[in-house]
Formats: sequence, structure tokens, C-alpha cells
Amino acid sequence: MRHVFRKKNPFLSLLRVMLVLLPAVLVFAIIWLRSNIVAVEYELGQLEKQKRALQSERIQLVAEKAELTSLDKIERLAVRRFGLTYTDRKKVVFVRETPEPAPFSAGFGENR
Amino acid sequence: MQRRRFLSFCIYLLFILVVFRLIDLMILNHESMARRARIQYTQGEHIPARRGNIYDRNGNELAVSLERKSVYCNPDEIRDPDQTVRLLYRITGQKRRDLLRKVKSGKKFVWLARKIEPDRAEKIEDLRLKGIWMLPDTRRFYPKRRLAAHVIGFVDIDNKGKEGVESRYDHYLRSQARRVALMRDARGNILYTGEVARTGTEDIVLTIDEGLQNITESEINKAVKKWHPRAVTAIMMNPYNGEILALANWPTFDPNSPGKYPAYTRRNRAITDLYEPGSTFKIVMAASALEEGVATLYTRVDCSEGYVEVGGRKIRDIHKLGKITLKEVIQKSSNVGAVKMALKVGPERLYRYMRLLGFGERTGIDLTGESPGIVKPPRRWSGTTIGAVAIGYEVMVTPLQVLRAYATVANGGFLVRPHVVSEIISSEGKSISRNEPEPRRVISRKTALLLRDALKAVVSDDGTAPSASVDGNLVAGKTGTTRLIDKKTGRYSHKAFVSSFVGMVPADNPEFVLIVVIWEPKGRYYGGEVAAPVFRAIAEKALAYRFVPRDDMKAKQVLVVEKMRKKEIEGESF
Repeated sequence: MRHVFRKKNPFLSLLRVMLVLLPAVLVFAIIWLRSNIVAVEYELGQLEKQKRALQSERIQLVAEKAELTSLDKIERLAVRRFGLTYTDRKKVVFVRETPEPAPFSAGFGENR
Repeated sequence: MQRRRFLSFCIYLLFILVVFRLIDLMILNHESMARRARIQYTQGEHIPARRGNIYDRNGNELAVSLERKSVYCNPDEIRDPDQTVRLLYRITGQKRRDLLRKVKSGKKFVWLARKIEPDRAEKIEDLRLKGIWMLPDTRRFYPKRRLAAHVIGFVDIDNKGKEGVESRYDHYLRSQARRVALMRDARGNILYTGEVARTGTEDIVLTIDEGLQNITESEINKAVKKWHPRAVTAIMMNPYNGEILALANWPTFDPNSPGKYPAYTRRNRAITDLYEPGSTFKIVMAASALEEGVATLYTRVDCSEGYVEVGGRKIRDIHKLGKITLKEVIQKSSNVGAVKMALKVGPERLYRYMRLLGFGERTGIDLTGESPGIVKPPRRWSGTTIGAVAIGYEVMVTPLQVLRAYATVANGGFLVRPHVVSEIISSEGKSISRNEPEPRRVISRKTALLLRDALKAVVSDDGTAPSASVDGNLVAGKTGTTRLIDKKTGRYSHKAFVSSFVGMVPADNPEFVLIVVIWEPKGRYYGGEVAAPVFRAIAEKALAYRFVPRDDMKAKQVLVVEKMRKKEIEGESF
């Protein structure tokens, strides 16, 4: 029996190795990507849940704030607890805006 | 060799079978398989119907929807009803007996508690009772309680609008309850799929100003304590565009629990209740006389006899007033003068101006249940009608109609459409609709200014309503006092009256028009004595609230405080 020794082509060898390795790497890459996506989906799902809970809390707080800042309630407190009264229009001072940058200077004079 | 071939054949065969199965799963039965998979990893979540918020014109919340849970049960699944009820009744705040009746009802689905707070829902969830389930729900909450209750309205247990803006704008405010499919793993953890559990609702911005509404309601309450009336209504409106700034009625109710109040407290009298306007209606006679050139403000009418006979019926003044001008007819509210002037104008023209000023038709306000009033055409008038109509009898109007007619005088002759909603905002925060009705000219500017002059005289010391005058600003307005029909006798009562005052302030450049109507006050009954002081109290506070300068500000020396312009201040850090 005659053995013929042929010189191996390194490129072909590499190609064979690549043909085996590449699909394996691709499969692993896909799995890795997929698992990462799922992990992000979990995280987003949690955040979405958290967001909804916070939104619900926000609405509750907005309602509480609206109730506490009810003018009727404030008026009652102001009158009964602090003895405040409604503005006496005779004592109202009308503030005129002027172009001069003269902050908070005041004086008695004719109204301009 | 044969064994090797056999083995190869088997392996190939297995591969072919696998490939066939894959084709079967992925191509031939793809739909049904995908459906089965979806069922396994997805779970439906109930999204409750949420209503949009209602705000006042300054962005203050008047109605919001809070997230709640509703508890229901399937009585068939409950093994020990007594034990279940024992654990539940304290948390739900119900009577043990009532809860037991529900649990033993034998039905498949029974509500045990609706719209309970999240902490109580959590307690029930922690009990892990068999047969007890929960659904997310929402509860409408009105944080300002009774404030503007008749404008806002209320909703039923299923969050459907029943009255007011809640009912009129229900299709904007309401969203449909729905279920969304969320992906979950075996432990119930949610995987984000991009499906957002949100419902698209629109928010509504009212023209109502919480501050003005509060002032109006508190002054009404004071009037109620003083006069013990059957009912009170007050409406404040911007005369130039018809925006209702405040609308209050007494008796009123809390929209958070409307069922606890009788039906009559929930009625919006400002637009539903009809009354004979009395002397406030003399504006129609005056407008028609001036506009048609029948008279000027200084045309004299003889009222010296103290009465006038129309259709065999005598209409009297309280005092004999002599020969007075049309302006004095209005100032002193002379019935004789008004009737004589109306006779000069004639039924057809008088009727035309009634209609032009908006009587006998709905104002078109965006609230439910508005009445058009009753104004008979001249062909249906009796011999006495022209006399009665001239002084505001034999016509039925709503307070809002009267206010709208006076707004015409305030704005220089335009009839406006009153409205309570200024804007509708989408769930993305964009304005999708603005309420800007076009006013319609109905009388000339000259006539409107003349009428305003006459109305200013009413609030002078010689007029019928000096008590309506406001310190610092001129008021123009008119009193009204009418007898109510006694239901027993079918005649006008000598005990039951409607007192009213309608006016504008500041008279030369009205900031608002305001009407106060008091049904059946006890003690006194003249509009100038009962309703006018309420007008003044509301107007004074409202002018201060809106920083309306006094008319005499220019004449008086006032403290002038100079400050930087806003832009200059914004640049600085304080």
C-alpha cells in the first residue's frame, strides 16, 4: 500500500476549524444576548412596576396637597387661629413696575 | 460494514424526524403553538377606568382619581364563611351581619367592598383567604369638598359622570377599563414588553377661579345665616367672553358622597330654577326704548298718580314719584314709569328685545339640565301681559339668563355664551380644545353705555340699592323683588318673595358681572336690603382678590413702590 503524503493547506485547516467554531460561538453569542435581553426586560419590568407605584403615590399626594391647600380651610385657619382678616382695600398699595433697576426703593409721592 | 450503514441510517432517520417535527411546530402548527406558549408566559392585568382631572383656571385640582381596590368573592369557593367574615369585617369597615349575608348569598360573584384604600387592600391580601379576590379600581375624589359642587358635579359608583362637568364632559374625562397582557415568568416577575398599562384620558380646565368661588360661597353662607332663605344662588361672570368665574348655590352638597344629600341640594338652581325676575327685567324695557328711539334717558314719564291701569289691572309704585325721567324710572325702580314706557314701545318690539337679550332660550352653558325659561310671544299675551312683562312678571327666567343680559350692558352690547370649561388637555399634556365662543352684537354700544349710566344711579344714595355700593369703585346694577305664587291659593303671596341684585363693577370698565338671587328670605325681602349687601360683600372681596385698583387711585396720593422688572429680577440670584 502506497502512502501519498500531501502537504496540508493551512488555510483549509483554519477554515475547517472556523466552520466548527463559528456556529458554536454564534450560538453562545445568541444565548448570551438573549439572556441579557431577558435580564434587561426584568429590570424594565421592575422599573415599570415601581413607576406605577410612584405615580399612584403621586396622585395620592397631589390629592392630599389639594385638600390641605383648600382656600376654605386656609381661610378658616387664618381667621380662627391667627386672627387674620381679608385685605382692606383702603390699605392696599398698588405697586407699579418701572423700567429703572431700582429694587425696593419706596417713597410717598404722586402716583405715576 | 452493514452495522455501520444501519447505524448511519438510523441517525439520518432521527435527524429527518427531528426536522419534520420542527417543520410541524414552526411552520404547520405555528399559530396554535405560539398561542399556547403565549398563554403560558403571559398574564392579563386589569387596568381600571380612570377619569381625567378637573382643574380650576389657576391649575388647582378640583377633581382627581385615586387608585383603589375593590374586593369581591365567589361564595362557592369560601369554605368557612363565618371565619372569613370574622377576619374581613373590621378591615372593610362593614357590619358583620351585612358581610355574612353577601358571603352566603349563593351567587357566583359578589362585591364585598368597593374602592378601599391601598393599606386596607394590602391587609386583606395578606390574609390569603380562599374565594376572596381583588380588582384594581379608582375613586373620584374632590379635594375641595363642597366648593363648586354644582359646577363640577359628581360620578356614580362606576365612575360615570352624573351631573355638572363630570356628566357634560364624561366622554373626554372617561377612559374604558381594559386588560393588558404582560409577560411573566414562573415566579410572577413581570418582563417589560413595551405595553404600557396606561389609559388615555383628557383633563379639563375650568373657567372657575377657586378664590372667587370660595369668596362667593362664604358670603352666601353668611347670607343664609342672616336671612334663613329657602335657597340662594350667586353667579360671577366675565362679561366680555362669558367665562363663569364663580357659580354657587345653597343648599349644596359634598360631591364625595352625593348620596347622603337629598336631590334638591344637588340641583344647580343657577340654570335650572325659573323665577319671575321683577325689576331686574326693566332693562329690557329700557333697552328697547333707547335702541328704538322711543325715548332718551331724560324723557319724562308721568308717575304722579302712583298707579297705571293695564288690561283692567292696576300696577302701583310704592310712592308717588311725580314726573320722572327714564333714568329715574330705573333708579327708583318705578313700576308705573316702566309700564308706561313699555306701552310706548309696544308688545312686538318689547318681545323682540327680550329675545335679543337672550330670554326664552338656553344660554348654551356647557352644563346639563339648563332651562330655556318661559317667554310668551305677543300673540299669546293677555291684556295685562305688557304691563306685567315691563316689570318682570309673566316671564320666567334663570339667574344665568338675567346675568347674561346685564353682561350685554357691561361689554358694550354683545351677547356672550356663558361657559365653565376653558380648555381640554390631552393625556400628553397638549391642549386639544379651547372654549372661545364668539359674542354677538344685540344692542348698540351707545344704548349699552346709556343703560350703564342709568344702572349706576340705582346704586347711588337716591337709588334703590345704595347698600350695593363698593368702597373705591362705582357699581352699576339693578334690584329685583318679586312675589312668589302661593301654591295653596294660586295667587301671589304676601309672605314669600324672591330678592335679587345684578350688577357690574367697576361700572366704567367692568371686571365682572355678578347676580345674587335669594329665594324666600325671612324678615326683609327687598332686593336692595337683602341681595344688594351680599353683592357688595362678594364684590369687595373679589376686587381685592383680583387686585382691581380703586377708581379714585389716580386722584389720591398713594404709596408708590418701585421694583425691578421681572426679567431683571430673574437674572439675579437672591
